[in-house]
Amino acid sequence: MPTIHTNFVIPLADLQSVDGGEEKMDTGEVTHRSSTAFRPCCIKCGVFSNQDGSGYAEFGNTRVLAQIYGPNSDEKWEEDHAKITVSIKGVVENKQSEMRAQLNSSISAVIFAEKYPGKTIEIEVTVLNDDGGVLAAALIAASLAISHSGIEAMGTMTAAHVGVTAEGDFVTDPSISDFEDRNLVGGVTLCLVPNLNQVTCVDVYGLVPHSRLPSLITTAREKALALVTVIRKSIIANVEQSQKPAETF
Amino acid sequence: MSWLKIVSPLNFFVDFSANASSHFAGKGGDSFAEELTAALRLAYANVTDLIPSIRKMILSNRQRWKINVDVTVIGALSDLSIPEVDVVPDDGGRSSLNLRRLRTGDDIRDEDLPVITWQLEVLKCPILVSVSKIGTANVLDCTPEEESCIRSQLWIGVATSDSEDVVVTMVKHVGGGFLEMESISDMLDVAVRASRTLRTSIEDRLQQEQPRRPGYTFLL
Repeated sequence: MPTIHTNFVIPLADLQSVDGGEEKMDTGEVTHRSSTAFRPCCIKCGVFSNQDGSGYAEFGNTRVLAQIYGPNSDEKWEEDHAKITVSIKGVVENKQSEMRAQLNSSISAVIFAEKYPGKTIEIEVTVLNDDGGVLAAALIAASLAISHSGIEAMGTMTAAHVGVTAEGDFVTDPSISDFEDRNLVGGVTLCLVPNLNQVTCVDVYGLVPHSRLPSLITTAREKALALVTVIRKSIIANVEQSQKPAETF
Repeated sequence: MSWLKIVSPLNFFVDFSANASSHFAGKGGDSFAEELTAALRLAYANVTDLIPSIRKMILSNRQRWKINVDVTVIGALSDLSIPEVDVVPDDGGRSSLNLRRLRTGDDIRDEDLPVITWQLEVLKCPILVSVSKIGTANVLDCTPEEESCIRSQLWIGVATSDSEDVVVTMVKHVGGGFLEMESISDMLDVAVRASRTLRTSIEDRLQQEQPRRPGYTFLL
């Protein structure tokens, strides 16, 4: 397997992630969090400097990195719009096929593919750790990577994952352990473009009573909108970082 | 999703012939088949809760029967008889399966006794409906011409439950495009209404098929 050597723009410690492989983050505060609060999150626009675009999203122990290669010329692709491909690493094959279709659908909706005729845009999503809500984290990371790359898009995407319990209560951003602890029977991942107020991805799974579904989707929308400020801040931080003169050693 | 314990003993295979649609350009629509397989797998992830008898397929932690489903044929499963079996531990960590038979107490060889079988409750299976947004209309069962005008599409899996409320087992937004929040609710309502009608039609059809001779199905 070929290895790619990349230079980090920032030290990994600044990402506030927890090193140590299988070792889980100290979830003392997480276990006591209310059902309406997100797990501790870290969102970063622009992780690699010499990449066309990259983004990182972390919710609790779920960590996803997205990288963009392109727009590149491809002699075989002669259509009047860009060819957008999504590849996913770090999850089992079954889940890859589930996620790829959703990511491709959402990303194709926001990118102005017609502005890049004959070009290919490759988006590589690496799931570093999956502890629930990986689709929402992947959508946010991919959106940040698009913003970092400068590819023209309709707007930044925000996403949220909300679970529903057997009693019909909602749990925001549940982890895998929450599924058993809180007796969750299903959930939804909703992704939308806030400035257009349009949904790009809705993914319901499990057994959700039809009568609870509209309020579940509305809750997911509210939660996704709550993340907009954090996402915007990370993009602004990246712009400010790029405007600073390069440090010399 | 990975955190759901997927114990579904159903395997789905979706395969298109290369000339099934002009969209496939002679390539067999691999990515579309993969997308459809993933959707079916997700819609049927909780099939053991919807159809309790399907738990009989799970013989032990490590052994289970598999039903391989051809997506286009739901009628074939309705008269499928599945034999009940006992798992007997064997030498070398292996196990063997014995068919369960009706004991009559007479002095008859095992091979001559009828095997106990059970049937799947096909009507409890989730029904997958695709609802497309064309302009402001929600359209079901699109023609190829209509498909070229689709702005956005939802695949919705609907199953019955013990209460009056139906259960949604899957919603997937496919093919790109945007949707408004209000449209999603409308499309869900359309899908639930359509699934109720479809289920009634399938029930009627299966009842019609029931008295037919074995080996003669509506497919022939």
